[in-house]
Amino acid sequence: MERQKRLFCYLMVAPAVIFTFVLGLLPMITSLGWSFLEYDLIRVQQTGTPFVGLENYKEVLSDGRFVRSITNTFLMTGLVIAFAISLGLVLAHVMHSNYRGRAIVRVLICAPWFVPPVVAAAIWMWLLNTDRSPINALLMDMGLIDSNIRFLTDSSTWGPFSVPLLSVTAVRAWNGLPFIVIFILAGLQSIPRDLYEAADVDGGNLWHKFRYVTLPLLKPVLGVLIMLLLITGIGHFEINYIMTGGGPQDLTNVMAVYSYLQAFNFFRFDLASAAGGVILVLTGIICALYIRGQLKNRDDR
Amino acid sequence: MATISLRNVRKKYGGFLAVPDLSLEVQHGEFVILVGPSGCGKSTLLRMLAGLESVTGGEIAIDGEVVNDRMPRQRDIAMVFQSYALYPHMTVAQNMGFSLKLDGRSKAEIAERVQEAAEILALDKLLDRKPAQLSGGQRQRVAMGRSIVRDPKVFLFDEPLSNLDAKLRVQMRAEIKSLHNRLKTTIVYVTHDQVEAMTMADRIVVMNAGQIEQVGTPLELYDRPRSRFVAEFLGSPAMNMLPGTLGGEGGATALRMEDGTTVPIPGVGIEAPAGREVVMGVRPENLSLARGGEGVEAVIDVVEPTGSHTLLIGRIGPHAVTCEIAGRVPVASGSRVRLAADPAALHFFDGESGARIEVRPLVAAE
Repeated sequence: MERQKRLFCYLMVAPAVIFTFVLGLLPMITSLGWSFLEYDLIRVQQTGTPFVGLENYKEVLSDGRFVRSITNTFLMTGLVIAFAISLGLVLAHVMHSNYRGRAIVRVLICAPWFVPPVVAAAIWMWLLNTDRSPINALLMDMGLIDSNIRFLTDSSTWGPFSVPLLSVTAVRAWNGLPFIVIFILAGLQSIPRDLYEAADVDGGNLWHKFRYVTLPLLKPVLGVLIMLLLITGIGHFEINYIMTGGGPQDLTNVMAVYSYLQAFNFFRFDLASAAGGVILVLTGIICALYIRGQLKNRDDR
Repeated sequence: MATISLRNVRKKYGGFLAVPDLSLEVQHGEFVILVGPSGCGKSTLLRMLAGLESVTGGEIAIDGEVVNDRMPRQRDIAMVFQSYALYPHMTVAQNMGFSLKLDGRSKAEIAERVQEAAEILALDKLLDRKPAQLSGGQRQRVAMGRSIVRDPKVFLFDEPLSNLDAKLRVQMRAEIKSLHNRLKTTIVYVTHDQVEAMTMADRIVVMNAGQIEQVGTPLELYDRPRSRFVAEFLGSPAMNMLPGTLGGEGGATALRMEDGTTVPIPGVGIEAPAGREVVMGVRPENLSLARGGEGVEAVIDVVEPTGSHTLLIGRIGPHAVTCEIAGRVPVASGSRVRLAADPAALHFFDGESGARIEVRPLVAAE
């Protein structure tokens, strides 16, 4: 009886475990292995795949393009988080409050979610493409600009910032926004209404209520959200790759795109794996912090 | 200290008229308790006073100033919520000082006033705790402390004791009352518990379906309830109600129930037309065991000794009746006894409207 029950449990989780192992764990371990080998697809027939220790890591970390992609990764992830969470807080309040037509607003706010990142990237590429950009046309018609903004190709920079970097960041934030809004909305709905009434009686205005009730009580939710966004942001690939392929001049190059290009443009699977290894380590550190924070939170309660 | 005036206050939720038309005056320093069954509009009324609900019609004035359009923070009131509504991320001291902080007071002043209030409520050792680390009674006290610190014109209490266990409730009742004696601030207090109302209030407002049934001191209401509703609501165990038709010659001398049981009206009867449908009410403590053939026969189903009193629960004819007798009585369950009542302690209510019928005892014929 007990054995049957246990067998059934294993059977039920088996598909998930197999998927995770075959599609997640196995490639991860394989590529981690490759990162310690010399694995140049062009020369592999002559040299084979000898063990080279940390050579690949030394090489990518001394590659200016990779270092640049690390900065870009963190910069873009940070901007996405800051922008999407601030906007998410506003929109979550818009979705939370009660008024006519709220259902329509809710659907509109969630709309970007129905668009897969690949499609979102394609749509925004068209919207931002210099030659026939509707956004440029609109700005021109409104008299806000004199010449087209080269959203995805302008290579002038201010420090680490550039127009393409901000454009891609904006698209990433837009695409991730609904998830964030839903997350925050769930947090808002868990705050008891009488706390706001108590704040009303205590003499709080709208800002006070946000600052002293909403924000502190959303802190756990925001903490989880920021961690999740950090983890997914560091490994982010598709929107950057599709919209700019990392260009122009590596201004929007991020670690995952660098790794991809090493593997499939230059056939250096060893360097690509080493770059992947760096992503793994960074993500691992953040995960560890996140889990520690979670455990500490539970102890506090 | 402040007076409160409610003048023809109305409240409508969509198509539902929660409070049709209500007027009430509260004096300086008075402890007024709004009591009634759930849904009677008492909480709505309190929330309108606090400014948490808008007023559909009429006027609410605090200290003579109409406050209908003022935000809660502009009304100088403090409120204790049923759930306490303590800010979970703040310490006890921060909870209590929050209103002063929003008011822009200095840290020193806040600390001093929090300390003062904490001492009154015996919270001074708990100031650094978070609400989650407190017991129910302590949270309740913090919620009160939060109100006291502000020294407001009016305290509003919304069923503050309903989340506490019975023993703590009795203790907090006394604490709130002594707090009122000490601070002399006007208090409006909402509860559905008539014991709280009876024990704490200067004046009780009994509400039913959005309207005031009766206003008065606890004993006025207890002794002369203006309607069957008030009579049944106040007092525990509740007043016995015996519906029937008045009968007799030259006045009413007996009550005839629908199954034919006849209850003689003690004394010599009352001045009322025979044939009138009434409900005769008598409180359990006004019933006693009768000697000999006096009174009316009752079947006792359950005997509940409480130590100081004995409760006899049974039936007169088809109607349930409870009798509370001081001390101990040798009555077994299932036995038949005769119950008598003090004629002065009888209440009569109209059978249809439930309104009190003022009765005079018949003058005994020569």
